[in-house]
Amino acid sequence: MKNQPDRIDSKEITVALLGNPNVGKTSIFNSLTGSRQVVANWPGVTVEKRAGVMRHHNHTIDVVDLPGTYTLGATSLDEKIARDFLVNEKPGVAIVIGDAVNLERSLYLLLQVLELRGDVVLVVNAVDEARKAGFEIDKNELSKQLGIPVVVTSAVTGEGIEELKNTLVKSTKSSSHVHYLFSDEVEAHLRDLSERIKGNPSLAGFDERWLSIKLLEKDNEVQKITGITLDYDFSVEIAETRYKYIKRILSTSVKGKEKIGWNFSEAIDHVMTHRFLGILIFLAVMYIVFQLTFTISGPLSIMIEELLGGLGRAFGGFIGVDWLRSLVVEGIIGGVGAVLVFVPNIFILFLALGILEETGYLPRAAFVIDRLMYSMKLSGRSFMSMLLGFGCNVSSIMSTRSISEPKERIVTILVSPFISCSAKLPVYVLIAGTFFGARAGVVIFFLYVLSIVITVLSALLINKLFFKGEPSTLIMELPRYRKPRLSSLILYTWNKGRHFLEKAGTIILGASVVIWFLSYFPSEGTGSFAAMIGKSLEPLFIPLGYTWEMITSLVFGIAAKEVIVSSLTTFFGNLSVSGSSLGAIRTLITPEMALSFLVFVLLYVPCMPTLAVIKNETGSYKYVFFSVFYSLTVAYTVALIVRVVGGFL
Amino acid sequence: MRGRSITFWLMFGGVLFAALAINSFFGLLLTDRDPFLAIIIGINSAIYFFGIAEKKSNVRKRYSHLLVGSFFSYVLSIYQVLVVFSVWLEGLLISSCLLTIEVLNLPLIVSGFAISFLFDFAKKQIETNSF
Repeated sequence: MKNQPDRIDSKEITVALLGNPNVGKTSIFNSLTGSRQVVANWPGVTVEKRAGVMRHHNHTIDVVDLPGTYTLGATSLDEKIARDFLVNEKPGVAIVIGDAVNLERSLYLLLQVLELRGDVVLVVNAVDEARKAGFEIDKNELSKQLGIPVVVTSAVTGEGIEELKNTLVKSTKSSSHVHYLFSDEVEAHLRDLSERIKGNPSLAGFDERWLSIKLLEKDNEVQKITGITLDYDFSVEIAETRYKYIKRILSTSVKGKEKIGWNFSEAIDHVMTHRFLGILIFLAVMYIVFQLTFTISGPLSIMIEELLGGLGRAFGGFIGVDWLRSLVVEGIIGGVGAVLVFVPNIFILFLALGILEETGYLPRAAFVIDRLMYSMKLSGRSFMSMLLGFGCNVSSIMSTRSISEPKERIVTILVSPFISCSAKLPVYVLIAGTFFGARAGVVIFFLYVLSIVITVLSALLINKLFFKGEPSTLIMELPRYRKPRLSSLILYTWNKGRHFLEKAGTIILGASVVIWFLSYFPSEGTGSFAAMIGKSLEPLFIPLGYTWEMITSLVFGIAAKEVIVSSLTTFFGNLSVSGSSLGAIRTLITPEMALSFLVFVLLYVPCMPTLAVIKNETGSYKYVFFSVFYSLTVAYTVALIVRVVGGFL
Repeated sequence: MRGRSITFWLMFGGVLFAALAINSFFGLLLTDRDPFLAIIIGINSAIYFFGIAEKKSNVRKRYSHLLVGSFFSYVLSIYQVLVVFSVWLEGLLISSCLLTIEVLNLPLIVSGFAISFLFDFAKKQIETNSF
């Protein structure tokens, strides 16, 4: 037992938030620090630690939100981040956040934390949902049994947050180890191992009992640190002892749980995770999402278009110098405006995805697809990472940290860029609107389905050719269905969508000026630098039938996919989402060429930030090169097939 | 609700939405021809029919099909209302009325909203375990 001061020295304390995935850590983090981190109703939202500051009664406390984890086993990167922080950074207080509706699993993690250290606070979150489900948590009994402070909270209603803040700034004295013992045999081994560890000066900073338990659980990392490898494995027996202890605690501190019968979530899941209906429902939901993205945003895009048109005319009216007027009106307002017109599409897409996340549907989609993915040697967890790619491939690749099998993780990283990110949406809307009119929504849906098909087939191919690993089994707790909260949806949509606006003011603005320069000098049109770039590559694209303008825009699109829209607008004149402009392109290419171009945009080289994150996450340039060449090959092949087949239809 | 009643409502929902799917597929009555929407409505119909395929003794599972099926029908009617709203707004912006009786797809809107009462009923039954 360590001696603790009565009050925490606020300026030196760090508080770590731990918990199972999807128990509301990020919500508690936001409540404590006033941050606005995105919260979602699915596991794996936090893939790296996030820090914030909490101020309460003259105390300033650093709060660190760690990735969700079921154990302190460090089998995946996010688990390792959480454990390393506890072991190496030694935060002043560890808050373990548990789910009031599923406290058993949360307490399993808590016991492991208590085996490692003292100064722990248990937060039992979602207590409102527990009450609704018909049972009560006796926090005083729980606190007495565990010997640590217990606070019950609801991140939704704000219940208990003030009490939690007060608890944090008061003494959080607790014992280093929980009051349960393993079997005599295990305890004997623990004593022996503790003695051996004590004799090793390099392990002085570690808790020897915790290291010993981990050694008996055959923890690879602890075996490496200690240099001790045992022939025997007591992990099952240790887990059983923990669960027996948890059952004993819960029998006295949770009341009324036996009342619950078949709950609402189970009833919905019977259909949503149905072998056949589940996949059909998933496709139907995606169709509705993309159709709405295209349909509802139409009028809003027209309004922005009108506004920007007026702005262009106003500037054009008083700038006398030809080249400067061209730069401002066609380069800046035309280029950036061409992308801004699609802000409604992006925000509506994120709003729809936010509703799917917030309700808890997306993990079900992953569960349904898992059966299919397993045959491709990937698990549903890979699919969940890929689903994030509908927003941005960068976050999709980052989220692969929760995949414990290294080979599976690499394959997921390599195929994730095929998932159609939101940056490609403006290109789809522009080209599909121009060539396919009322059927544009269906074309966009087709592109999204194609992106999933190509992603899955690529995973199969890469696995067959390069990796022979078995997929990790998807063990995922399906979150409860929840009514989406408007505040969360607004926050989610804004946090995701604002990156698009930021890009418009930075990369796209810069790219628009560069594109204007290249298309204006040394002379406009076919004599420009842009034309030279496009024409130099034109022979490669003869089978696809793309014009030099389209080829040049593809080259610029490697910086950011939205730049393709800016480029096309600069080359073909001002755009119109209703399809009345960009008319020049309609005289140059056929609808099947347009569809082939969209497929090429969907599949070709990932954007620069995605390539950078592939390098960071894999630690090797070889995967970056592989990604570039493989995606180019796939894009060219599939685009050619679409063009040829489309020509026969 | 007894087993026989739940079978009736599942059959009712399944047949109604199968008819709506055919209607949208061919553009027969008060709707534009929209094969893709027809497929989505057909999936809704399948949710009800799969409920009938559940064992009669397992009322809970049948209820879950009624619950999800009726909610999906409700979502489809909201979807259609949003589509109609955006068409109206687009017309307003270009000073032209783009709405027609076929664009409204009234059979889908009315059916979806009507069947939402079934959703409320099924939800209540499940939440109170009244089988």
